[in-house]
Amino acid sequence: MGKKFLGFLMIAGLIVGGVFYFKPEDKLQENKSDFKLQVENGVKGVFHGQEIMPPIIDLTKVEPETQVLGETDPVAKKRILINLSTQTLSAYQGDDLFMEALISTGKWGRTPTGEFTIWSKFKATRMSGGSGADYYNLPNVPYTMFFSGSGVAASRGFALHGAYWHNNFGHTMSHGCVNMRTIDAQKLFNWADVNEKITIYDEESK
Amino acid sequence: MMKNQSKSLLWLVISLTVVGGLMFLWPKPVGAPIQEITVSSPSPSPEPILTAISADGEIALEMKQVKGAEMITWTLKAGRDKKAFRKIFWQTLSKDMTMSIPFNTVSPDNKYLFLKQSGPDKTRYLVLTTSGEPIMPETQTIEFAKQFESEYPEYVITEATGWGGIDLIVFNTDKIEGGIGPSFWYEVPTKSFIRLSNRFE
Repeated sequence: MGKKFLGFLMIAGLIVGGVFYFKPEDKLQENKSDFKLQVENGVKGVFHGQEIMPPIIDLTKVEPETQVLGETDPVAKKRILINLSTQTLSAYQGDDLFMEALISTGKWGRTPTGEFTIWSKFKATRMSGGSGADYYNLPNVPYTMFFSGSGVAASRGFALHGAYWHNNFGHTMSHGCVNMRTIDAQKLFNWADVNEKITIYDEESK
Repeated sequence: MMKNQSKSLLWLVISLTVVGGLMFLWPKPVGAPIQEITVSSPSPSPEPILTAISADGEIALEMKQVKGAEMITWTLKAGRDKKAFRKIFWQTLSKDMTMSIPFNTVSPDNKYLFLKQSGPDKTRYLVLTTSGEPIMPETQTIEFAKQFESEYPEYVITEATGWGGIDLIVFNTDKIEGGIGPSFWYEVPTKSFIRLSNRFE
């Protein structure tokens, strides 16, 4: 009788623990990507059950040069700060502010907090993930900068990138990535190099 | 007697001349604005210009207001840049109403945009095309706040924040009786509301 009760307790504990572990809001989602430059002009994407035509990616187009206003130290370190509480991104070179932008971070999957490093950059790539009504499959995701760190492996597919499928910046709207307006992602992409540091925080983790 | 009267009159004339002369010659305070009072019908005066840009930078917007005596005329222009601006919308409203361009105004495919119209007791949201073409046959704009009030009288729109999809406007609500309400999508082509299970903060 005692063994039976113990067994029941263990099973119940496993079920409760499993439910908490897999609770979608808290779990970092996987963002499927081949981690390569992938240009698929004319191929439709899917987001929230809606088909959407991605922007045309022209690899021959010359990107505008980026410059910090005023005098800047060219050897000063660049850093990117992401505040989840205010849904804002700030990029600095030394003490000089390069840009500020409203962003959209995790709603259907959590955006990790901590110290990260950009490990690869692609002008366009494909991203997919989610399930059911949250399924997405998006070609030509523009100006993608994958990052890893703070216990989050590169293979998880977290990135800063332009988002052409919504326009609700300043509010959570992603599966864990950092969505930016294409115009802002382009500016950051042309300024930030691989190995650039990113700090992601919210008011609680500050 | 007559001589005394003439003397008094002379003194009065001299005094008035001295006072008038002093007033004329007295240095005016530096920087004091010289006000002109216009008694004719008030002429329109230009006001600050509101600007916005689509998320991909392809469409720029510019909104101007021209104030009249009782009314304000709002004009919205759109184009790839200032040189290509076309007037796509204009409306005359009473002085207690203001128009604004929300940050996330343009739909992801650059087809639509929405504007906010705020008054002392009501807020309205207008949806229109970026090309200036009618959004529906014989309809230049759609206003969805009034429609929402009649379909969901238990909620009030607090803010339309942007576009959740190519033709879905996201907005948050409060309960009329108090407390936070759900978020909704307004689907532009079908003019219908979709109640969401979670709130867009």
